[in-house]
Amino acid sequence: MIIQSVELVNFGPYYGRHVLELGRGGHPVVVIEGLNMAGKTSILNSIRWALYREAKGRDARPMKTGDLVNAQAIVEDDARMSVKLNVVVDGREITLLRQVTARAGVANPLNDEDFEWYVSVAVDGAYYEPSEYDLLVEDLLPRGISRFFLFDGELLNEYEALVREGGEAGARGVRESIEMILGLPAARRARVDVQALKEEVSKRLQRANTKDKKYRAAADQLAAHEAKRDQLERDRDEVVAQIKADEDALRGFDANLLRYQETREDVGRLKQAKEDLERLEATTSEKIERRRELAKDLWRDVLAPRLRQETTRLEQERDRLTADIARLSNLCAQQAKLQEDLTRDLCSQCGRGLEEPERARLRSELKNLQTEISEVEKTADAERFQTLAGILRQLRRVAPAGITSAVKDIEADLARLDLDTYKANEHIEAAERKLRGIKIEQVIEWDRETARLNERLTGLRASVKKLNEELVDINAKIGAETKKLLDNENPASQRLAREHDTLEVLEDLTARAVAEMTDELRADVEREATDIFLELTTDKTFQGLRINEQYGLTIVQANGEDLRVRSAGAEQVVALSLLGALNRLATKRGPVIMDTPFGRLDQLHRANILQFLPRMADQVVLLIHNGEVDTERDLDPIKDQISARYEITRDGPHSQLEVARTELNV
Amino acid sequence: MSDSAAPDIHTGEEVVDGAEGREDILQVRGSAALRTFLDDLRAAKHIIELVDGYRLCIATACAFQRAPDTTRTYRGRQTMFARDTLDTGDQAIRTAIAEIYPDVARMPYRAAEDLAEQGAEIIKGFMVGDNLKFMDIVERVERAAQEDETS
Repeated sequence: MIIQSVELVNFGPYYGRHVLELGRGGHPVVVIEGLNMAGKTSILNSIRWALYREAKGRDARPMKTGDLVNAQAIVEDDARMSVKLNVVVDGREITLLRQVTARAGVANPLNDEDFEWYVSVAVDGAYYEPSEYDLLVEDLLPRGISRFFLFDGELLNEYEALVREGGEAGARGVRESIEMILGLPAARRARVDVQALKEEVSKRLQRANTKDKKYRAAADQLAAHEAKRDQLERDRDEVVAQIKADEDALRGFDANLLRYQETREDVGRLKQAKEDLERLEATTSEKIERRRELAKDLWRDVLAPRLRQETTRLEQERDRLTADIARLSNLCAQQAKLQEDLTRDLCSQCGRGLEEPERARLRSELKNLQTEISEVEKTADAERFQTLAGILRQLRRVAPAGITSAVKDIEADLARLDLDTYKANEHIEAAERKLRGIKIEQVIEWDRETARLNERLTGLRASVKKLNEELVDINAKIGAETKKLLDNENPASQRLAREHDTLEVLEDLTARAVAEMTDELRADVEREATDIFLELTTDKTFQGLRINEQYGLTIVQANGEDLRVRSAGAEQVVALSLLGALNRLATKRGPVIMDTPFGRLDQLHRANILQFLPRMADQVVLLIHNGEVDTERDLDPIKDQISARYEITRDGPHSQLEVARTELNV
Repeated sequence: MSDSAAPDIHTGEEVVDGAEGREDILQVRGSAALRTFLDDLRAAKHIIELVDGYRLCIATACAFQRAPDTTRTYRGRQTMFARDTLDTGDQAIRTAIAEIYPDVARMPYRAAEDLAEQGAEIIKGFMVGDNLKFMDIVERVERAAQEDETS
């Protein structure tokens, strides 16, 4: 299969219509260059989406349809996206078109059900029924092997991890994909057909001997065993079919769950935000309640400064009064003494009689004292002094509650809680916005179903194992009874015996042929991968690669031993070697589209791989950025093999991406 | 009307008439506006009972150096509490008003009514919608008191 052109409309970062002519020029390699985050993976995804209705984001997660539609198109209310592939297969021109349009009334189309889907398929200009789209694609490039044709650096990681870690399900998946690409399932069917023929002969042998008294018992026993075997096989087939159905369902759920992984995370975030909000509201209620209780006595603290002022003022007045009263008392004592001296006409100090000048002086002093006393009496208010004492006593009884700092702390806490509540509500709103239109119960149901199916599958696989063991047993018994009947010398039995023997030989031959074919193919893979590996690796001491039953490859060192620990770069080279080998040996030929495959490789390895690429497949499309490849230096050795070069550019930070051809080599 | 008289808190004399020839009151009242304000405070969960808010209003007016006017009238005034409900235990409200405002020492509860009305208007000024921070009032009062002390 060769992709002639890819036409994108509003796909990913590509606004409007963009056409990539990949098949013109007649050379195997097309190079598409762009910076990181510049739309290279979107080109790979567009082809994947057109073929299989899926696109992968980071960590190989399925992307939602709404996330694929160009944002500018959505803003302009033209949420319509399409990808058209024109391919050529064995001389036939096939056009595949897949298109989605947002349903009317859906404000933010995101999920598959938010869109109307349309496909069309034409072969040499003749349109087929849309229902045949997937069948045709499966015939062109089966989904099960597409990983070997459409891959990026992350998918290389997937292969390495699966094969190296050897997990049962993961390894089986890759092994089945590899065997599919090599055509082994068809060979295995031949063996099954021979087994069926042999069973038929066995049944005829049994029928031929039922009338023979000597062999009737054996014939009856054989019939019974065969009936049991048939039942066991039916049971086993039923269980295997159930396993397949469950595995398919599981894959569907897994894909849905993976697609909705973000949804699950959002559901988790929503749940957490709601719990946070509940907790905040409970704490806020408690604080409000406490604040209301404190408000009962807060008035005392509000009043306290005013009372303090009053108290201070009154204390100052009291102090003044105290001083005045003391002074008055002192003056009165002096007055009393002077009056006594004048009355007795004696000086109280010396005890002698008073002369007139002395008497006059004392009278003058007394007069001054009386004036002063009159003045002081106005302010030395003893009654007021007593009253003040009473007032101050009363004021001191009105004590503050001392709860101000508690109220302050609570109000600070409430302010913080208010902000936290606001943020929690924002989180809830954001999560609810993301989850709008998504049936959360559906996601939870998928989760539940996945767990249930996994549990059932464990049981079913155990049943298959047991049934297979019983089949081995019953087949041995059938073999024993058949052998008895084959000893019957009547002509019918002898004829059937010869047929039986022939078929046994054929069965054995087929089994050995399939085993040999599998081994040969595995050896072919090893040989081709080794060839490619030795061309790609820069370490010329390596002998090659060794393959195991899971098609995992190990590097063989010069001393013949496996290299146990490999660098990330070596892993990538080995993975590319396997992919190259599979492409060479595949029963289906397809284009190889590689997205940034050189991330972990040094310049020498890159150069080797680039030189190899034109021989890897009939068409190789490279999506690269100039950080991983020096396009001038590294591509120069293969420039004659490059059909066209495209560059993805952006005119400015807010402008759309453009992919334009910069070179065509016809 | 001896049952409406209250003893002078300093001398213990019974006061039969107020200074202006009016008696003090046994039931404190509130205007329609004040009652609505206190209801709103309770609805907004700032106070538990209306009397808590009434006391706060009185204290706020005192703290803001407002002078009571016992002759002022208010629209829609209705009885709200008995004075013993307002002023429990240590009769602190009566004591504070009588000492801070000696002119109305003989009718402290009548003065309390007017102070409550004034205090409500002051507290409204601190509110933003339904939100009220008590600390805004307390800090303002303390700041004013400190400025007075240093001047």
